[in-house]
Amino acid sequence: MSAIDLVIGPQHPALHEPERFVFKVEGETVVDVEPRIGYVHRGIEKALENRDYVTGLYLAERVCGICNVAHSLCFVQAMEDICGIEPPERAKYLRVVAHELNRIHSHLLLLGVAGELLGFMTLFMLIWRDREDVMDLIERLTGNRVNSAFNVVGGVRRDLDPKLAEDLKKVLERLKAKVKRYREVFAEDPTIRARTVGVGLLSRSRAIDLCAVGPTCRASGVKADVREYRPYAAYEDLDFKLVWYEEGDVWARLMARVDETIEAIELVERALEKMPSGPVRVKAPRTIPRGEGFSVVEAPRGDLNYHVYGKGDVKPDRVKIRTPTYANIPAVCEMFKGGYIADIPATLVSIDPCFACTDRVTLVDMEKGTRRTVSVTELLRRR
Amino acid sequence: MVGLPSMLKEVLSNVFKRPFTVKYPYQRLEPPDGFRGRHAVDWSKCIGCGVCARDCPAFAIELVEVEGRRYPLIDLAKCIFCYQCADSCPRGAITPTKVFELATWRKEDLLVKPEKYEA
Amino acid sequence: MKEEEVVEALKGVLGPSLVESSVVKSGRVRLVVEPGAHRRAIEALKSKFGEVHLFSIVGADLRDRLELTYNLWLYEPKVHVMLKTSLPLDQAEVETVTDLIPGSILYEREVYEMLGVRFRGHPNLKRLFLPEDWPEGVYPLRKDIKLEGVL
Repeated sequence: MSAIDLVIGPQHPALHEPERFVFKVEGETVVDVEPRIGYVHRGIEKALENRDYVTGLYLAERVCGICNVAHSLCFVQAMEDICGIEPPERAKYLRVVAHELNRIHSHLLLLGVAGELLGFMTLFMLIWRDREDVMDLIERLTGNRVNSAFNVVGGVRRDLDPKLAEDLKKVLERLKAKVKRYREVFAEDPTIRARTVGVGLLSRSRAIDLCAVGPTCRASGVKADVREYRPYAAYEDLDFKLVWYEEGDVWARLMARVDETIEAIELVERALEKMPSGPVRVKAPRTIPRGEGFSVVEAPRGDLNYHVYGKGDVKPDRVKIRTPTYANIPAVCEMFKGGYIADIPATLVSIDPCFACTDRVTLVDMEKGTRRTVSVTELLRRR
Repeated sequence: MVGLPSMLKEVLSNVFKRPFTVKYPYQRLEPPDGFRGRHAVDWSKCIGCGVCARDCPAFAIELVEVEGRRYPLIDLAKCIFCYQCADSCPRGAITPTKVFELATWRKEDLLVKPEKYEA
Repeated sequence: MKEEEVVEALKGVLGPSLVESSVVKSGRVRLVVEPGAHRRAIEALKSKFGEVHLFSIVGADLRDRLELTYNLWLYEPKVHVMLKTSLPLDQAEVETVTDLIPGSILYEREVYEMLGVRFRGHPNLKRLFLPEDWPEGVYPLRKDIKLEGVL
């Protein structure tokens, strides 16, 4: 039978972000896919060349709302790399606390969204209720729920008061018990297993060839986590344990995220115990000297890196941002092939797509068949 | 046969609980300390240096002249509430408040302006 | 030291094509190669040091030349290699590495559309981010570009 083109996006209820996919399908099986991205391209790399690092920091933070602490931390570390500044010890521990709280809220967001796309609305509502506790903690620590503006070149902006440290421990302990309960649900619920086990397979060798990052590659057996192979901030002293799975399907990717949430809660507890006292900020010169800086951090979706060129002025010469979802696009194209149309939402949500970071991706599958658009209601029924 | 739904216990217990909704505006939640709301400027401390306007990422601060001295005029419509102005001010003249209900009918109400300033 | 091993191994393979090499700091090696020699360098790194992860491909317009940097992570020795080559502004063409590292397929498209570097042998060298009605030949990240009134 001849193949037809199935266009999904850029606005579609199965997708939470704008991107366009053109799938080539034969019957119910997806044969090929081509991405088309760039719907939210904002020209941030060019804009950062016109701003000094004090104002540019706020622009870099707004590349992505969900992983904003990771973006600001990576930008700040790249600037500290060029300028040769070392932040104080207490600032490094506070950066770990904010970074891990960001990771907890991002993973809970994704697990809820995965539940919603699989049709499990109750799980979505309950997980997002628990996520509100984490958002309240982030608001007390940094002043804002999203776009925290916590990191600056030379340290962090605010200190942690002892009352907040007590509340952090209490709330996170309650949250850990709930996340362990959700782990049981994801691991054993028969409906979730029926829709996710064996779906969207990615083998270990393909994951390495396609340079997949984050939980997408760790669920395929690649033991790569920036916090382990290239520790930054205070991760060397915090006894970090890597989370990985071997199966390489959607189930393994969701389980990897649940386990990482539990590990993140424990990291915050350890960081609060070991936090040294001292200043939280050092003064930094405004000029960026000639040279290059590079910094890589583990954002919730994978490894995020910034490469900065300086020219001796207050403004940088070139800033290059490589976000994790951008690196996972070739891997997700590989995962779609050979699966059913009905598995498309589950596979896509398992890489935790954040196209605001990526500046759009479209998957397009082209063969010589006819082009036919499938209406929204037809696709919803197929889910 | 699928078996008992795994979240049955949570679902049944939530049937008998109060909803978590806060009936705003009849009930209000207090923002935490350090919340970044509307700016409060101590005009007696301001020396008119202009560092706040230079460092604003959204170009929301402009220096205007009132009675021979220069003061900042903050346009909250452009402001992103990052408070870099407060960090940069050498005298600590800008501090945050907890006021976040800023919606209004006139754009002139969205300016934080010195006392005797006329547009 | 692991960084020295990487430098020595590449000196052996590339010879005079390796223009500069230095250990910038602990865990980071900077290598500058002649244009066209970057494929041999990546093949040598893959064969001698095992699995290689590509962090990014950075293109920069340095006013007198274009510079391409391949940021590579070697898993085994835990070393970050910055592999750089320079290209002339008026003739920016270089060989692709998509057969050596399949994950570089979208990075090269982005460098092509933003800076105008053609990658010979790329399977699908088209635009990635810019809209369809963006004019041809206008490369946004070049320094001599005027972006007012383009679209």
